[in-house]
Amino acid sequence: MIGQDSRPYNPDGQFIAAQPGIREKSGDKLLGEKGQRSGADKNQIRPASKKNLFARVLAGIKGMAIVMIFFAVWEVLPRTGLVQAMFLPPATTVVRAWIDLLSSGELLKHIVISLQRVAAGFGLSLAIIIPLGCLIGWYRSFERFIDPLVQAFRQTSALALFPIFILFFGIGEFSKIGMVFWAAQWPILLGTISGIRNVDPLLVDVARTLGIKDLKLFIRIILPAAFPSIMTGIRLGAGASFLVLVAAEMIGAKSGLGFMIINAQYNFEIPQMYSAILTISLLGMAVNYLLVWIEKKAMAWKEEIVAA
Amino acid sequence: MKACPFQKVLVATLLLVMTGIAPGAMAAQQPATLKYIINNLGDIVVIDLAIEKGYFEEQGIKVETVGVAGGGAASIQAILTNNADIGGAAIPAYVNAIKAGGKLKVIYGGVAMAHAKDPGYSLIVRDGSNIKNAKDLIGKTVAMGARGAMWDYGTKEYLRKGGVAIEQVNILIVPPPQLEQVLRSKQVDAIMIGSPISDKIIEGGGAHRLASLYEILGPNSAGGGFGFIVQEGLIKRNPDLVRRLVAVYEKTDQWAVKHPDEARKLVAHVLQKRNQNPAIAKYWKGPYLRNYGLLQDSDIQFWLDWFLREGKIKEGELKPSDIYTNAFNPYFKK
Repeated sequence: MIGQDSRPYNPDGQFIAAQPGIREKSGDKLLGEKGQRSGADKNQIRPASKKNLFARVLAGIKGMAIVMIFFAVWEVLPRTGLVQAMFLPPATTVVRAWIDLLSSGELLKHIVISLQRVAAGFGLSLAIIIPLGCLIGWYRSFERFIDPLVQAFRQTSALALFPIFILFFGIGEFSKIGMVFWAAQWPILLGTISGIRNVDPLLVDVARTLGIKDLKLFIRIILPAAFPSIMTGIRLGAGASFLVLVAAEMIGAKSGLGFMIINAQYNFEIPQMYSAILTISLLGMAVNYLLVWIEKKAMAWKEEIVAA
Repeated sequence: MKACPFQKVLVATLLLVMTGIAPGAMAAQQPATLKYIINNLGDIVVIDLAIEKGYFEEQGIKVETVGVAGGGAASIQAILTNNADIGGAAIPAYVNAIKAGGKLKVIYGGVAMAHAKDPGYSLIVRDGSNIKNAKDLIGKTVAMGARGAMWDYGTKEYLRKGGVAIEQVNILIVPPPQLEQVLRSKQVDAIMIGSPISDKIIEGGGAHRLASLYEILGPNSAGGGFGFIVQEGLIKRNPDLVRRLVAVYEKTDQWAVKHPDEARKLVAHVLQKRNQNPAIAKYWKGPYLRNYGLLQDSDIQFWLDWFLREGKIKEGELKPSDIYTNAFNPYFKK
């Protein structure tokens, strides 16, 4: 039998003398052999039962509560006439239009094109800006050199640069990818620079004392330590990539979710417009959760290195 | 002397009647303020000329310009959301809006969009490109300022007449100021734009008109493709105001037809006020007022048939009287 504090007892209720391994695993908060924290968790001994499942479902619903409230308000507001239903259709109308667009295959066509543009622009900015950010963060002289340009361009919105993008990149795919790149690069750049800069000097000193230097220092110590900040920048950059789609597809586009929004607006096809807006939000959310998952995986690896 | 009951009742009744009449009378005389939304900065329409001539004040109307919408469809949206009261756009744009539930009415047709002396919006191509008709545009790129406006519908009609579906052509949206650039730099094969940009491009050489709205729609439909609107609510609340409004439009248009050179000076003046280039006023052609700006069922039915063909509306879903009314035009005889 296992008691409340998880110490082993024999069937008569007597405590069995501590044996190596058992004690460490149960109840003790000391670190085990491999540096893992042993769980003193009372929940560990509770069987995975309906109670657990119910609790999890309940928690899930509570999490969705705010979303449900949002949809309820969205449904009621136009129907009561508080908001003009022509320009804000009730949620169910939009969902119905969304399902129609999805089943006719039209929405998928626009999703694919937009995702291609986001992937290309975002991917390009990851490949170029993270190394650039590392350089700026690590080499002070380079930072001093390039900073005025960075600060000036950071304040310029992608929309304002429209004519320049058309001039240099034309009205084809490249100018749209360029707009996505422009929007994504700033959070990624700042996140990377900040991450590199704010690495705990103690880590660097200890590593140097151990004889680790230059590239190895950078890859094994600096980058992992900077990772959380870089990851935040990446997540913000991904969000920005989706948001700029509407602007990027304003010029010279004939498909895509941003184009869909503008086109639907001009033809007074308002439910379709909201469907496209909803789709962009959902895609952005999905990518964000994907990045969070990636971050969690990468962070687990990071913690082990630090503890060892 | 003590007032007898009869006198009391008489006085009370008179007071009641006066308080009932007075506000009504005052409402009719008080200057009403109407908010005017501009479609595009380069568009000078009857409302702009009327403001300059002071004709609104004569009818006790104050007009306040609330900004630029960026296209006909956007100005309709502004009016439907009470951000503006008056404006104008292409008839097919109204069909779209009314089909989606917008409560507006076209109250005045205005001058023709294109006439014998004014080709109207035009499809422009580079000299030397071998685009000679609609079929040559298949697979090519046509740029225009916005969808859902006459640029869109004019192009579609040109293609339809040439036996080409709009899907066979790549339509791109490019802001009007950049249209010349993308045409000359060969990024697009044709553009759809109106005066003055169209005239400026042709004058600059290297480009020519492929088709004009006048050719595309024909003299009759070109006269009935545009209109000025108010919300249906305004018609219900204050029909007298709407009547005075149309009277102003009518007077202004008739004046502009009789005095095109003076009108052109006013156009330059308005452009100057808007920080646009007043020199392009030289391209402004005198207007043509078809039948006092009255619209006819056939004008509207032309566009309704168009939407029927595209499958955007069902048979009998909309009729011309849902879209327009001549009732407020002083020249309308029942």
